[in-house]
Amino acid sequence: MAKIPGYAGFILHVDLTEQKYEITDLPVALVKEYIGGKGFAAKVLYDELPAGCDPLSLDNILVVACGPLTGTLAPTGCRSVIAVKSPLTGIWNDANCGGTFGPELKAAGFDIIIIKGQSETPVKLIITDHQVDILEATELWGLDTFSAAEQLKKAHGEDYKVACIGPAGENKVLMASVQAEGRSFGRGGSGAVLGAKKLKAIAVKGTGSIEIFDYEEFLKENREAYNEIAINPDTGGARPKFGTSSIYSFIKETGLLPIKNFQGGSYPGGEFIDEHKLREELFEEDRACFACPIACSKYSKVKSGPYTGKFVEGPEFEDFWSFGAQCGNSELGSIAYAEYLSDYYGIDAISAGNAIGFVMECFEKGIITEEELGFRAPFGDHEAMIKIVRLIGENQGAGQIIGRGVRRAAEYYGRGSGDFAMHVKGLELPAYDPRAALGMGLAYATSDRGACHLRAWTVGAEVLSHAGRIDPLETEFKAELVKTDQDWFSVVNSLGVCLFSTFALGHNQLTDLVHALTGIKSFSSVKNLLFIGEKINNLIRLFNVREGVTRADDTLPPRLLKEAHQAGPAKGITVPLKEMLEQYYLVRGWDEEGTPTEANLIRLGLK
Amino acid sequence: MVKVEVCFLAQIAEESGVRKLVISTANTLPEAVSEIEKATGFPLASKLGSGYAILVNGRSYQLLQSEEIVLHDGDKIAIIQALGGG
Repeated sequence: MAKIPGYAGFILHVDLTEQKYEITDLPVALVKEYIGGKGFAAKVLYDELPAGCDPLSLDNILVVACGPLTGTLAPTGCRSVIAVKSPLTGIWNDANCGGTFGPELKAAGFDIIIIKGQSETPVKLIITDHQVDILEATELWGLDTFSAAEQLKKAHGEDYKVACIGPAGENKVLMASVQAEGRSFGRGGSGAVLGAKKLKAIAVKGTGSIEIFDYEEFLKENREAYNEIAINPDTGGARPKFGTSSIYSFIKETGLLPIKNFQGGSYPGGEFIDEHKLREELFEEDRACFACPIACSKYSKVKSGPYTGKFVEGPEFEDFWSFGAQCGNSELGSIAYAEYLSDYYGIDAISAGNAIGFVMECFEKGIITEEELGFRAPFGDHEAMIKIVRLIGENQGAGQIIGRGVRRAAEYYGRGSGDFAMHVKGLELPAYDPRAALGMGLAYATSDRGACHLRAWTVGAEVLSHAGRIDPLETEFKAELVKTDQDWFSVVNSLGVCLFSTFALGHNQLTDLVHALTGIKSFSSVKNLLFIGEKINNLIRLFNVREGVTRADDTLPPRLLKEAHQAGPAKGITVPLKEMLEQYYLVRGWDEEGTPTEANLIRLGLK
Repeated sequence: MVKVEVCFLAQIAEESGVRKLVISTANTLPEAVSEIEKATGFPLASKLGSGYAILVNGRSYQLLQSEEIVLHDGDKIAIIQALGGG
């Protein structure tokens, strides 16, 4: 069968129970209807995952998928996704990762890996082009993610790209990540699913090539795209210099930076923390993912204080917040070290930092005691923060509760702590307080995997007030804004490029790139791609409805609905979710319970 | 005349060579922009609308334009660029 331009052309099916595999052709219909990456994963999990299955049982399915632009020249064409039924939330979860793993998988000849079943003993999956080996990995079990990747490469070759879990994943910590070449499939606990399957690592090495439909046009579109990224003030200016934390002061000034578990107020030293301090005191050198001209990633090294000598790839903005302002902590070295430990154990640094802020608030309110924790944990206590990261990573002591996420921790500790457990559908909130940009409240409430800033990011449109019309503190236009973002972001997460490229590249440019690469007619216009994005989101909504999600789940933590923002431009504001949600269901074509209507499903070709 | 704090965020602080300053200005935004240009030499007015923007006490000047901004003592003006998320 001839290759489809832009695609490797094959699916690898792995059955860990039977310890066997099969390779099949990538169906053309799947490509045309779902693009790649997230779209592929949505179709596979909707069609094949047994409804209501235990996410940590052998019934769960783990999908790794690349997009057409993954592994090509296209700027930021480095992304791949891991999708599972999340053990943290019990619903859909896709975690998207940059770096080099996705491009290598594509070079090995696979657009998708579908992993089913469960091994009895630890195994590793070694993919060398189309040679696939499922091998014993007892020697790797128990190792942190850095050591596991290093030992695997020593045994099989330095040029393999490795995605693996650490002790957290092995112990089925519900916020466990999968770490891949310095980057993370972070959110939603996919690491615990690998752990349950006893799959320690996937290593890939490939020598294949990707066919290009219109080579000259693809080169031309790439030149233009690289130029746009270079001259854009974000992707060509602030982001390469300050990393993802380039927005730190901007977010703080606008009242969007959550402080001390979204309580607000101040904390010692917090006034001196910004993107300049981070750059001056921690950053050592730049690092870029495959085919990325932005290079927003940084290597950091702690140069003074109690964490001198510690290093990390990061800290990213989200972790700069989660281990910083969220914990009332201004000790920069501890923030870097906490992110390092998250990568070492293989845990999601957003969920971990969010959960530690929750614990600190519980401690200050007397809900969690020193006796229960084994130490004091007030806000700002960076030593306590580091101890809790370790406890989560090792699944020890209170870490056995906290590592299960704030929803379960609040159920365990009780005494009203559910009012300030900052999650949606079980996934911990990231670094934007939606009381200062109401669209983010709707984005969190309706995100397919729970509270997430990467399903719709309305902050720019709201705070910078496009055309002077969109007010961050009003509800007008927010339903349309969130829906459009969600549909386009699903396209981007299916194409295999980084969402950061969209700060410079418009819808038309990405469309021109993928059309020149593939020649596929259904990818020839923005309208067509947005239709596919909408279709993907509706299919995932059907998946979630099948797992029991209703309107009651499309909500926010009580704190955001009832407690007013304390200061700044959003002082006195709570999130008026109900009216935005009703408008959102209308523009989505969903009924009052948030279920896609039959007419809508017929329009989208899903019925 | 009012005294307001002015912050240049992220990359703009690098471009202008200024992070923070306090200016005395008449109580309108155009006057404040003019004073900022005089104090820093940074051509702010010509950059507004092309990726650069102003926040007054955390609110976009574009949104506030229709309300005829009146500056007060202690107000904070932030000079920002259109940046995406992190």
